[in-house]
Amino acid sequence: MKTKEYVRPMPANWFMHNRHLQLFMLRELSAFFVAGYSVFLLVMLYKAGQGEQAFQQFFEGVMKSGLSIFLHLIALAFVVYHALTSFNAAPVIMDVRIGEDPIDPRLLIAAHYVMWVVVSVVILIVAL
Amino acid sequence: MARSNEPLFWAPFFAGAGFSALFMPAVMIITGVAVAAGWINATQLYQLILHPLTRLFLFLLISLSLFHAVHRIRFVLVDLGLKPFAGIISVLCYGSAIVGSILAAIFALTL
Amino acid sequence: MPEKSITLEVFRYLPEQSDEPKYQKYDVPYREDWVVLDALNYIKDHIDGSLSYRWSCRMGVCGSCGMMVNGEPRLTCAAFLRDFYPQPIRVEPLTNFPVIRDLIINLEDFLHKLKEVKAWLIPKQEKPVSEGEYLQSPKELATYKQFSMCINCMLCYAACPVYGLEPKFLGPAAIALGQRYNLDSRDGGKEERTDIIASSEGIWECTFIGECSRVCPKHVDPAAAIQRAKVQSTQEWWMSLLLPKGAK
Repeated sequence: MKTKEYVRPMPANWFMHNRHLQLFMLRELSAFFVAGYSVFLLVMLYKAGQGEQAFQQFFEGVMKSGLSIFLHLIALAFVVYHALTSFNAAPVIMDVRIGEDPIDPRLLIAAHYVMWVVVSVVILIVAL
Repeated sequence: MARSNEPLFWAPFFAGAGFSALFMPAVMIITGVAVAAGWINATQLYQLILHPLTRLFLFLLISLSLFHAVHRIRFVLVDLGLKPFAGIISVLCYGSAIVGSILAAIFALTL
Repeated sequence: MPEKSITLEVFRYLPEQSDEPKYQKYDVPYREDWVVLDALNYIKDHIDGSLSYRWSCRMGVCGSCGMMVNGEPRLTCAAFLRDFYPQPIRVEPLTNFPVIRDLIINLEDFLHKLKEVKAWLIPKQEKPVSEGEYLQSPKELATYKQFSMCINCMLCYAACPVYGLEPKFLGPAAIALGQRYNLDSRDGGKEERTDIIASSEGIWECTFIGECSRVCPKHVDPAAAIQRAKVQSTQEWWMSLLLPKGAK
C-alpha cells in the first residue's frame, strides 16, 4: 500500500534562507543597476547626438544634479559587486590546468583583479 | 529531448557579464564621480564621446550590458513567483535589449 | 556528576496518524565524539523505536544519511553535536523532496534523472574482454576525477532553490555525473547525453547560485560542471549555426 507523501512547498522568500542565498539575490539584483546605467548611457549618447549645446544642458542640468550623483554611487556599488562576483567565478567556469593539476583558483581570480584594475586605470587616464 | 536554443541569448549574456564587469565601474566613475568633482567638464566629455572609438566602445557596453542584465532579470522575476508569465517576461526582456541595442547603434552612428 | 544532554527537535511525519507533520523533542546524552546520526540511533534504540530514517555506512561513503540539520543539508554521520551544543538541533528530511515518513524522502525522481542522463560508461567501441582493458592515462583521469567522487547523497538537490522551484530541473548531481562520463576519454556517449543535459530542463535552468557545490560533502563542485557545460554547449550551438552543415 502506498501512503500519502508530504510535500513541503517552497516558501516565497526562499532567497532569505541563508546568507549565501541573500548574497546571490543581491548579485542578481545588480542586473537592475547594470540595465539602468545602460539606459543612462543611451540617453547620454542621444543627447550628444543633438549637438554640443543640448549636451551641455544635459551635463549641467542632469549629470551634475545631486540625484544623478546619488544614483551613480548606489549603482557603482552594485556594479562593483557584480564585477567581484564575476571575477570570483572565473575558476569555476574555466578549467585551467598545468599538467594534471588545476592551477590555484586564487591565482586565476587575482589575475582577473589585476586586469580589472589596469583596464580601469587606463580608461580613467585616457578619459580625464 | 530537444537541445535548447538558450545559447542564442546565453552567449551575449555571458559576454555582457564580463564586459560590464571589466569596464562599467570605470565609466561610472567618469560620468558620476569625475563629473561631480569637476575633473571633467561638458566640452571635454562631449569631445570624448565624439571620438569614433568611444562611440564603438559605448555601443558595445550598452548592448552587451543590456543583454547581460535582461537575462538575469528574466530569471529573477520567474524565480520570485512570476513563472506563469515566463513567456511574456522573456519577450519583454530580450525585446528591450534588442531595441536598446538598435538605438545605441543608431545614436553611435549618427553623432 | 549529572550527565550533559542535548535536545533534538525531530521532524515527524506519520501518514497513518496525521496528514500534517510535527516536531518532536528528544533529550539525548551529549558526547563530544557523537554525530547527529549517533543521537538519532540513540533515540531509536532507547527512547522511541518508531522513528524512521535512512543510514548505512556511518563514514561518509554510502550517501544515505543526508538530512537537514538546522536548515542546512548535511550528512548526519559527519555533523558533530559539539558544533551545536548546547543549542538544540533541528533535524528534518532533505528539502525539495516529498516525505514518505519521518526523515525518509522519496528519491525516485533523482534515480530517474540518473538514468535519464545515462550516468554510466558508453564505450566508443565495444570490444571483447580478450582484447584487454580500455586504457587511460593519469592526465585523462584527472579531467573528470573530481566529478566522479559523487556519492548520490542528494544534498545538492536539497540545497538547490532552482530544483525546489522547478522539479523538472535535471539537477546538480545528475549533470555533474553526466559530465563525468562526457569527459572520460573512454566514453563515446556524449551526443546522447547532451540531448538531455543541454535541453531546457538541463543546464539552462541553472542560475549559478552555487549552493550545490558549497554543501557537497565530497567537493564534487556540480556548479563548475554545469557552468562549463553551458560554455561548451554555447560554443557548439554557435558553431553549428555559423558553419555550413556537415563541415564540422
